[in-house]
Amino acid sequence: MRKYALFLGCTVPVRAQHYELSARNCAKELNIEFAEMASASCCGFPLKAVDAETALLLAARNLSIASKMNLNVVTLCNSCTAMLSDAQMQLKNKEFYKKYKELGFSYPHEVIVKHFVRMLYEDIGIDAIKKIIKKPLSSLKVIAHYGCHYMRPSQLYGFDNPEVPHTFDELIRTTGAQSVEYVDKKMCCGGSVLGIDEKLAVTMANHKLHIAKNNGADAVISICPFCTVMYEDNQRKAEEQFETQYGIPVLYYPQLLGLSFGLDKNAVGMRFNRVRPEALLEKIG
Amino acid sequence: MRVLVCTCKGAIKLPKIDFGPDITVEQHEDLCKKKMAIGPDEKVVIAGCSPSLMEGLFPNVNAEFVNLHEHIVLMGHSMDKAKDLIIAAVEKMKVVTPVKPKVFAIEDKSALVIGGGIAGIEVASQLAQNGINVNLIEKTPFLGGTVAQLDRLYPEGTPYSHTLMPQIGKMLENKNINSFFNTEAKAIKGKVGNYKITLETQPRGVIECSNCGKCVDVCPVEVNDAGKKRKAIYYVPTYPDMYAIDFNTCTKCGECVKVCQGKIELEEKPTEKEINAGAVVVATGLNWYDVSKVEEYGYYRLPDVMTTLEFERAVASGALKPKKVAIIYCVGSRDSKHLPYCSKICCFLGLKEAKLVIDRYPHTQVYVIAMDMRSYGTFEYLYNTLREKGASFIKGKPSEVFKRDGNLVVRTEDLYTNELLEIEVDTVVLSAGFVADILTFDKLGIKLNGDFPILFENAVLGNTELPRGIFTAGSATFPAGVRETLIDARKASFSVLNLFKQDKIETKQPNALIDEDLCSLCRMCIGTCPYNAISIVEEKIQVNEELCMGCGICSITCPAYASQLEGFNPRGLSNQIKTLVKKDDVLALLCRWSAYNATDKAAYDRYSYPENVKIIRVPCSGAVDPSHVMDALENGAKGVLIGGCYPNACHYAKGNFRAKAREQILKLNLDLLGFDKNVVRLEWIGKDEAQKFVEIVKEMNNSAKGGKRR
Amino acid sequence: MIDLKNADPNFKYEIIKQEGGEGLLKCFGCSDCAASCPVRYFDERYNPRKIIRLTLLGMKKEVLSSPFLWFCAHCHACTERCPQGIMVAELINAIKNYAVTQGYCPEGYKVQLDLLKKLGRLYEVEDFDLKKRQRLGLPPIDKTIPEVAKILEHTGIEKVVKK
Repeated sequence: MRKYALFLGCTVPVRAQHYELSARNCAKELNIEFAEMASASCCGFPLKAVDAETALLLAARNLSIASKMNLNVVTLCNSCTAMLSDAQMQLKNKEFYKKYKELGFSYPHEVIVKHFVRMLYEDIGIDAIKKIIKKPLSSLKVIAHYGCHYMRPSQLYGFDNPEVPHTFDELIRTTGAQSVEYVDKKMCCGGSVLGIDEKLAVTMANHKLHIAKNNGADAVISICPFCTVMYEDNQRKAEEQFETQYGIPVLYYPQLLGLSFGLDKNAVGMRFNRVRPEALLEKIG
Repeated sequence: MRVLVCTCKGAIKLPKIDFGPDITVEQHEDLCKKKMAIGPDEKVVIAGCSPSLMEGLFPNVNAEFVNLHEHIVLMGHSMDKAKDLIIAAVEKMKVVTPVKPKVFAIEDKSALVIGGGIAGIEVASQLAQNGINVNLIEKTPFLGGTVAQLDRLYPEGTPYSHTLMPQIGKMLENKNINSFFNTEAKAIKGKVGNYKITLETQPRGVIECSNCGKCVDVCPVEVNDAGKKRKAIYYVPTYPDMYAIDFNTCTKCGECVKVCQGKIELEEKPTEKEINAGAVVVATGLNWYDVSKVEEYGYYRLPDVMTTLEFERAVASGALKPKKVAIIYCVGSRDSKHLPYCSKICCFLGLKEAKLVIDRYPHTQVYVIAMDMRSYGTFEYLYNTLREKGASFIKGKPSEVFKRDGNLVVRTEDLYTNELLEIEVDTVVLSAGFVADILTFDKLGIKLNGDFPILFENAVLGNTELPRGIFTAGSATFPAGVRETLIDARKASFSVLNLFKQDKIETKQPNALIDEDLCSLCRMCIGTCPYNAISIVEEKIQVNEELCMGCGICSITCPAYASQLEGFNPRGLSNQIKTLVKKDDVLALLCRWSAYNATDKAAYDRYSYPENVKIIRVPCSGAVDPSHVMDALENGAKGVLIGGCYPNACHYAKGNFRAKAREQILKLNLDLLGFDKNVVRLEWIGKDEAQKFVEIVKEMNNSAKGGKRR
Repeated sequence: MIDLKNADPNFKYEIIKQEGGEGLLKCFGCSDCAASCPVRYFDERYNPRKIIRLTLLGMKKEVLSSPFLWFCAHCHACTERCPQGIMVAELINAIKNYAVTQGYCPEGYKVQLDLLKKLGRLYEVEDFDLKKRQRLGLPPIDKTIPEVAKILEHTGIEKVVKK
């Protein structure tokens, strides 16, 4: 039984409950226990452009919660992973630690931060996951969207190969689905510029939706609620801006994984996917 | 011990000093013009002009020099100070070990040349022509190295007809060259004049050869040899005139044995041989950086992405007829993730490839994508020619190479137009960087200074080279073009011939002496020696006389004071300080290569500093121990200045970095003890920076807090 | 034409002092960052190399008042590629941070700051959301996290932004 503190961040518990639900249900299948982080707040990422230090302090505060629980942290959002990992490194810096203590926080145990998908790859392992697959999704063809902060900057993570990434593709292939090899796999969804220039952000999201359509993909698989906002919530806007039709469902990885575990569509929250996934569900039977 | 004092044309009127019966004080007129007879083991104190002058006039003596001219007479300081300086110098010399002459007998006057490329061939020829017996070892089955792989050298022509074969022909005229192929040096031991080398030879496979070539026809294994296809059994038309088997790819199927008109042996074992040499010349040539590490350019992932060498060989042999080529520069070089330095020759190599393909196929579109164009010297003309022939030059560093709809695409910003370009090509050429031959230098025990072998500033011989018996030629230390390589090879040959003209080398280079009884084998000295001169042999510490440059850093590092530098001694320096420094003095411990000379300049340029500034010359700022600073502070000094060479200019490569590390810790400790942190200062003072020196010591002298404890 | 007469040579030293700005002086303008940047790919008005170049030249007003400074998506494609080892996204972020202290802050961030102060999150957790979670079998979450406001007050970020 592996136990982690689950960090939910802002968006997931309020706007992406299907991500949380499917992640928790997959965890159960894999004998992983998630402990709740009481009074966990925003990770601080929205403030980074305003003041990096304040943002890091917010992140560090969340780490103190996990630290007192003496558990490592698993995150669901790429940006949360970035902030918490950065804070974890900064806490080793004397100056920052001093400011942290001034606010009354303590850090009794060192905390390791991993994204849910990274945790599956490194701590659980593909072989262990394969054993639980009951329903290989071999009829599905999907586009893997890694997102930016899953592996970059490599100075912070040292995981996977930022130039030739493969871990997420491997995890998708484990479910039986085909993960398309496409150019611009590493490209950003545009989420961070949505509030600055909507047209630009939608253009960036459109780029990958276009690739998905060209490859005849059944879905875009995302591991970050920010990215899902771009590909799913703004899919209609992309269709309008570029005068085209997509209708491509955007699934979170644990939804895909859960389906391959044989969980039913409600257990992975399929009714919350905004672009209706009926066609996809029919395909897998 | 004698104390020789110059009267400096009457300016020095020393009060009488009584040292007791063992030490005599002699006053001389114009000491600098006298030929004093000083015994080789005799210890003396010479008080006169600056040691910068006197050392040259009194070479190879065991002396402490006291600067009476520049530091007393020209500064207008008192005779009492002169007396104090001399007394302190005597205290130091009492415990100093005289420097013993070191003799390296040149027992063996033959040379080992490692590498059969163009540099090795040239060195071997030059030496053999001058009567030296040469053993040349080459790790591949054929002579020629990188030049033999190329299609052309710009602008002279092809390597075989024009450059390489005449070289090889000249070499073969000499009967006193032994060539060993498929051979590497497994271990190299010994000293100059007497090296013992173990050679390891891999089997060639072909024992007798009639050059019929039938083996190549039947060999089933095809190998991609840097852009050109060959079989596992192959021939390079340089030397020797025999085929050879590449056992890394050979499957030992035996087909060649069946048709061989000579003799092929597939099951030979490697052999070893011991040889001697008086000098070793490292000519191991170019080592290309592994560009598959630069992942964004897809070297191993994408077809048709190749290095400059592979491109040249493929185009020259006609195997590749590209229509659109992109040549990317600085692949791996000038990049903190790969090689931080510039590899110097890749700029003109890339231009050479551009010219090759444009000459062959004038309608091919060539894009040269380079951050900078370092086509130095007359290579600038090549750059001009290429622009005139229609090659496109794009300034920028491409972010990636990828495949799209069957074409290779290079994405880069063009700084000239500020536009993002996506260039579709069928071939991408990566102009890769180079690395030094670390393996060979490791075997020779030569340390690397960053990425390249440390070059010695030989304090006595005054030249920049590796230890006396080891020479380099060509690209082994740093990439060079063919022209520069040939010049370098001739220089190396000259150095070897010069060495062999002597039967022995005698120097009075001070070395570190390590007292085995005090040494606990903690190995701290081994780590701090910039030259790798200290090693442990059979549980005993050993200093390699050939490598030790006499910097004194180990003698300060050793926690047991087991290491003493001949002619300089931490205890001696301590005694000198304790005798010289009085209350409220400012002590300046200045490195002899830079900071000390600034004080002489201060005298000539008439910058005055207070009389209570006491100056002591040390071999290196890295040879000052924190306890020396404490000695001064215990005597009530106001401050201690340690003066050294600027970073990266240290005469002993890293001595000043050691000093910096010690300064940080010392400051922390002084703070804990209640001293002001600025009571000790480590400053970089160039040999002309008299004003800087004077400003610093005046500041330290005027400090109210200096020397007092809280 | 850029008239360097009005350039501020101290601007770059101010940026170096910011969190993440340390690498600024190393830049030699190779443009690998701009060639890797997804935002620049779609909108050439944003160019990280240009922003860094103008900063190094001291064009303080141009850089800080530029609306394109905020276009950086913080995706770190540039950081991965920079041959001088500069964490470019962090550097651009440092320039953004400095711009805020000088009174340039996009409205969107001010709104987010207010939300964080009030709620401790970017989204309001209403009773409806809590019931939804309950029905899905998900554990409850706090409606507000006041400790966040404490941190914001302590660092004085609000005052800086409201300037």
